[in-house]
Amino acid sequence: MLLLSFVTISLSSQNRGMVLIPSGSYKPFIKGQADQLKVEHFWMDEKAVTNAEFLDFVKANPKWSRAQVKRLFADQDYLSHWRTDFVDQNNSQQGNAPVVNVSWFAANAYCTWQGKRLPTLSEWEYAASALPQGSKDSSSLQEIIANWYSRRSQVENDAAAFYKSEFGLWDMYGKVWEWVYDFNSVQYNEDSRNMEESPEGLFCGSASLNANDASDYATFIRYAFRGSLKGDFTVRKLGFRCAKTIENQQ
Amino acid sequence: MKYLIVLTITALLLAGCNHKKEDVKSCCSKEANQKSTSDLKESLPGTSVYQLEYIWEVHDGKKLLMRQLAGKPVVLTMIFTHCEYACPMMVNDLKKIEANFSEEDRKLFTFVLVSFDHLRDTPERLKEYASSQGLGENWILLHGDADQVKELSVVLNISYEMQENGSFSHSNRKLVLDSQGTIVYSQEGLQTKSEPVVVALKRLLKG
Amino acid sequence: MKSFITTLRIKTFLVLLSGIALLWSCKSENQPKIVDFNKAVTGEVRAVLTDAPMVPPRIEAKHNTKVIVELEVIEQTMRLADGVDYTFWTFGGKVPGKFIRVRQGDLVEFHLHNHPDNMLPHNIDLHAVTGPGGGAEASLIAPGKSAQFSFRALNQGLYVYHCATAPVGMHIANGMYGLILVEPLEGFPPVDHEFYVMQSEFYTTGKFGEKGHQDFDMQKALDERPDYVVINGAVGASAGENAMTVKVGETVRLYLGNGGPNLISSFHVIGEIFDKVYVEGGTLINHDVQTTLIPAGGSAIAEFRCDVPGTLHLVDHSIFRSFNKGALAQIKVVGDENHNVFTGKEKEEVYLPEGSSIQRISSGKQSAAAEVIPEKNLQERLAAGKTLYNQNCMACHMDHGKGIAGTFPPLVNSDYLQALPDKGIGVILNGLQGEILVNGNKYNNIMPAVSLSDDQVASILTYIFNEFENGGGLIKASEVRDWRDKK
Repeated sequence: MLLLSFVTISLSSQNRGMVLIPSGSYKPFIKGQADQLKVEHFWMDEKAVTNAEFLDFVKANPKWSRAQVKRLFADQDYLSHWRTDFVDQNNSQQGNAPVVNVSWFAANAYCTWQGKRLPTLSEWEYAASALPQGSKDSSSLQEIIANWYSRRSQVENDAAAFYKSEFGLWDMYGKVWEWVYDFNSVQYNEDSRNMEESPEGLFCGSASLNANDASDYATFIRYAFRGSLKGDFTVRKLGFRCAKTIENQQ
Repeated sequence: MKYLIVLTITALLLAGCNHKKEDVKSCCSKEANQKSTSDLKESLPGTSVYQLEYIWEVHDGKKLLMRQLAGKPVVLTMIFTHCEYACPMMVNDLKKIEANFSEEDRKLFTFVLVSFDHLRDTPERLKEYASSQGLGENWILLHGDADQVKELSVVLNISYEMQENGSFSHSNRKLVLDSQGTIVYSQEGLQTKSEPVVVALKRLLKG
Repeated sequence: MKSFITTLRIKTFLVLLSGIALLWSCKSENQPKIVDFNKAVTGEVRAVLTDAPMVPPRIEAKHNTKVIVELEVIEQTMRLADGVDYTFWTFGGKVPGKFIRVRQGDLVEFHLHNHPDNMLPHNIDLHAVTGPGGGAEASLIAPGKSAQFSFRALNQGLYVYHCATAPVGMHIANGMYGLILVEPLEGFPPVDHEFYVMQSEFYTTGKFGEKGHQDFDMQKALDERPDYVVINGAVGASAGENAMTVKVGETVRLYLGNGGPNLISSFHVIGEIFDKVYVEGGTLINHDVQTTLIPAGGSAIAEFRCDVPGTLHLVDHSIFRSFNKGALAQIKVVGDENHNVFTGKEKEEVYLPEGSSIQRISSGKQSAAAEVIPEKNLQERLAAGKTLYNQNCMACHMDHGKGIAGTFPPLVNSDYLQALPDKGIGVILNGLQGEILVNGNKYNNIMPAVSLSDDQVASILTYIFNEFENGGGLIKASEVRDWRDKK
C-alpha cells in the first residue's frame, strides 16, 4: 500500500522518462549462481540517454567536455562524433539518437548528476529479458537481436525506434550496447575457451564461468563485449541508460 | 597438472570462504569528499589514478585522499582480509618484492592494499590484519564504500564480484604507480616473478 | 626439453649402433629443426598480406628477421552466392582472412586492429604461436581498439589462425579464419605457382540458394548441417571467371586450409594426382596422393605438375558438398594437348547438373510459379538469364555454352537449338533423352527437366539466344506459359 502510493508520486514528479521495473527473477547466463537470480524492483530510463541530453550534462559540467575530460576517465575518442566540444550535431535528428563514444566514468557521472545511477548487470539483463509488447514468444526478440548483430542497424536512429518491451523500455536490443555499473564483475577470461577448461580460475570464492546455455549466442556476445571493455573506453556503438533505486524500505 | 592445481585451490577456497557476513556500517560519506580540495590535483597528469576524488579510511584511523600518496612510487593491489588463499599469496608476492630493497630504500615507496570488502574490512580489522601479516610502516591499507571501491577497480582494470557468502572473486593484479600516480607497470597473477616489479620500482627511484 | 631428449637419444644411437647407419639417416631426415630463440633477429620487414587465392612472396632476407604484421578485423556484408548476402566477420575484409608468410625463427610482431564501426570484440588465435591461447588472451579488443603482441615462429608448417572470442563457434562460422605459413628459412623448393585455397562452411537461416540476406543459424551449426560448404569464402569465389590459371608444364603448390567450423575436408583435385603432400601442413611428406584430409582447424600442402590442358576441379570429395553446396574451385590449365599423357576426348566426371532448382525427369505440365510476374525487357532478361544459366546450366553446358565435346552438347551457335520451333522451351521443361545431332556431332545423354518458372525459362533462353550467337530475340514468359497450356 505504502509502496503503491510512493510509486505514484515518483512517477508524476522526478522520474519522468523512467519506468518501474517490477521485482522478479531471471535465469542467469553464468553457471554456478542460483538457477534464478532475484532482482528487486527499480526505476529505469525508458530509452538510452540521447546526444541532446548528454549535451546538457556536458554544458553544466564542463569538466566532462571533450577538452577538459581527464584521460584517466575517457580515451581520445570520447564524444568524437560530436562536431565541437559543446555541439553534438547540426541536425536535430542526431540529438534524439543514443549518445555513444562515452566512457563508463562519463556515463556514471551523468547518472549521478541526474540523481540516478547506472543499472547493475543483473538489473540490465533482467530488464532486457522482457519481450516486445504484444509478442507471444521469444522468437520476436531473437529476431531483433539477430537482425542487429548481423545487419548492423544504424546508431543514428532515434533512441526510441524499434520496439517497446512489456516493461515499457525502448530498444534494449537493436541499437547500441549499454554500459552497466558492474561491467567488470564477471571473471571473464580474455581467451574465452578457457571457460570450459578451468571454470574456477585462480580466484578467491568460486567464480564459475560456464554458461548456462552455451547455444545462447546473443547473450554470449554481450558478455564477451563487456569483457573486452575498460572503464575509459569509448566505442561507436556503446551508450547507456540510467536506473534508480526505489527507497521504500524503512 | 595445471588443472589439478586449480581444482585443489578451488577446494581450499570453498572450504575457506564460508565466513558469515558481518554487518559493518560503511564509512566515508560523500559530504567528506566535497570538503577537501587540493592544489596538487591540478598539477597531476590526466592519466593519474590520483584524479579520483574519494576519501579513504586508513588502517591507522586517518583519512586519506588518493592524491596524498603522490610524491613516492606506489605498489598497489586490491584484496580482502577474509580471503584465505589468493590474498595472502598476493601479500606474500609483495613482501618478496620488498625484500629486494634495503631498510633505507623501503622508505622511498609505499605499498597500498585496498579492500574489496566495504562491509567487513573496517579500519580496525585492517589494522589487525596489517599487524598479523607483519606489514611495516611503508604499508597502507585502505577502506572505502562500495562506489569508490568500484570506481578504483575500474581505473585499475581489476574485476571482482561479491559472492553470496560475502567473499569476493577477483582478478589478481598488482600495479606500480609513479610518484604522480600514473600506472607504469601492471602484472596479473599470483606467485609471479618479483623482478619486473623491482625493475620498474628501481627505475622510478633512480629517475 | 623434448628435443633435448631426442638429441641425446640420437647420440646414443650413434655411439652404440653406428653400424645401423641407414636407420640413423632415415630418422634424421625428419628431425624438425630447432630454433634458438635466444638468438636475436636482425632488421625488420613489413609483411605483405594477400587475399585468396594469391600467396605473398617469400621473405628474401638470408637471416631471421622481425616481421611486422598488421591485420584489421572488418565486419561487412558481402556475396555468399549469387543473390545471397551474408554479414561476414573477417580478418582483412575477405574470407578467408589474409595469408601471412614468415620463416621459421622469425620474430613476428603482430598488430590486430578492430575497426571502430564493428559491433563486436574480437581476438586472434594463431596455431603457429607457442604461447597461451595462441595469442588469444593477448589480443582481445573492443571495437575501435588495437592490440599488439610478439611471438617467435618456432615450428615450420602451415597453420590456421582464427578468432577465439566467445562464442568461438559463431566467430569462426561467420568467417574468422585464415592461414599463416611458417616456411623453412631457406624456403620451399621453387614452383611456378602458389595458391591459397581454404574451405569452410556457412550455416544460414535459408536453404542453399535462397535469395536475399541470410542470417547465421545456431541450430544448424550445432547439428553440423551447413547449407553452404565453400572454397575461398563464397560459391564460385575461385571458379569460372575467378578461376586460377596456369600453363601446361608448370608446377603448382597449393596451401590448403580448412576453417571448419565443423567439417573435415577430403580434398581432391579432379584430374590430378598430388606428387607431394606435406601431411597436415607439417614436415612429413607423402607422395602420389589422390585425396588428402584437411582437419577442421588444420591444413595441408599439395604439389603437382600440370601436364595437360583443361580445367581442374578442386573439390571436397564428400561430393554433395561440392556439387550441391558450393565447395568447388577451378584451375584452368592452358596450352597444347599432350597426347602422350592424356589422349582422346576430354571427358570429365559425369555428374547430374546441380543448382538451386529441383531437377526431375518428367513432364513440365504444372507451372512452377503461380504468381504473375511482369514481362521483362531484353536487358532485364539478359541479366537474370546470366545468373540462372550459371546456376542451372553451366555445370554441363560449360562457360559460354561451349559444352563438352562428346558428352554435353554446345549451346553456342547451336544448329539444333536454332531449328527447334519452340526455341528450346520444351527441352528445359521436359528434359531430353536419346541421340541428337548438334553442329555435326552426336550426343546421347540425359538432360533432366528443370523446375523453373515461366519467367526464369524465358530469361535463360533469351540469354542463350543472345549471348551464345543463336540469332538473338526476346523470349517472353507468356510464350512459356502458352507452351505449358498447350500440352
